[in-house]
Amino acid sequence: MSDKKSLTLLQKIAAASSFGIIVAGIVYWSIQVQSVMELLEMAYG
Amino acid sequence: MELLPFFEWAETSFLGYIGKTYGGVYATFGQSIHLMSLAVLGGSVLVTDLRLLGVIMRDVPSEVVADQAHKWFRIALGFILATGIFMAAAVAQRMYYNDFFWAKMSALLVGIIFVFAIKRPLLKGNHADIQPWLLKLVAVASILIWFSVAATGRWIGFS
Amino acid sequence: MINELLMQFAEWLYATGGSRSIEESYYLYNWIEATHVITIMLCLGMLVFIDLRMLGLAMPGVSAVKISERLNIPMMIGFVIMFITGLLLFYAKPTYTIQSIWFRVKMVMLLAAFVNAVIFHKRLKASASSWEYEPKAPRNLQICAALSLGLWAGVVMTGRLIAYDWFHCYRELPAWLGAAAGCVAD
Repeated sequence: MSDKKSLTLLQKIAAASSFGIIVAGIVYWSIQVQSVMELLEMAYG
Repeated sequence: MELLPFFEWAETSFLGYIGKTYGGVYATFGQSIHLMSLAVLGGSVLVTDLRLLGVIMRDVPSEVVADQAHKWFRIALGFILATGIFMAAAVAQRMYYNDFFWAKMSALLVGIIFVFAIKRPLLKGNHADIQPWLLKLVAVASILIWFSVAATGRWIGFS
Repeated sequence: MINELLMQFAEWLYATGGSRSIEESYYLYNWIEATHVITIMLCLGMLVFIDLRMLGLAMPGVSAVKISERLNIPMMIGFVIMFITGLLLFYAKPTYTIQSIWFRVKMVMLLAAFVNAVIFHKRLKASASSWEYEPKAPRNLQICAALSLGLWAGVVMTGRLIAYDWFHCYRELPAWLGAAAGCVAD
């Protein structure tokens, strides 16, 4: 990181919300994938 | 907020009636235009975000790419929302009880707020003033949220 | 004659293990279809922006050649995914699909889009250096771009309609439609 300026408020909000979206996305899709795997295990053994 | 009455009303509304009665209209004007708008919306998102990630068009200023893509994002969003409302109205009660519908609506709301309240204001300025890691973080979040809207949306059709 | 041959081919495909396992599996057909549809965002998304540039409707200040070259690769990656998933979708339901009038129209439009794309690229290569910084491409290239948008919109629409059997062979169809859809006497 070359820039020594601190982040503006908008930039901080952007960073936090992007991070939040990514975490929420990873959690949601992990749960979906897991539930599918369980269902397939039940269906196919 | 009790939403069920609204969904019940929607299905009996004129919009819902047309979609239910005329399958051809539903498929051609609803679904097909929704998909064509998806192409433009997805394209505008990917053109901007892949540029921000430095994957494509590295020799074109990212401000130009973001500005122009956003123009088409707005147009596509308009059509996609209109056709989405038309399609949902026809099967509103089923949507009310569908988990993937609510997942999609949540992701859509997040996506819209993210674009208009955060991403667009951020990218309107000079990108050199923004930390590169922040641009990339925003790009990844954007791709993820719109992919999620599309994927949960498609899955409504299977559930 | 052709319709009979196509139907025989479809029935042969239908009987293969792979075809049955995709169609009958719990999720596989759905995932392949979802991938096919979502990849529209990549493949057609890039293509739309190339066409819009030619028409002067997107990034008019950027070299048209540059946009075409830069967006071509992600578009082709998307197209490969579309093509493979499309093949698999056909393979899973060959007899239904081959007798779908919408599928047949879609294939004709795809072919036309391909021919249009070849013509487009040839013309672009030949003329680009003279106008690449103009906001709009020359007339003949604009026509290719507009045609491209129209044909691909048609591909999307007919693709979506394949799932609807309003004009399938078990319905009462006028003779010309039955022939076009590939209906064969049982």
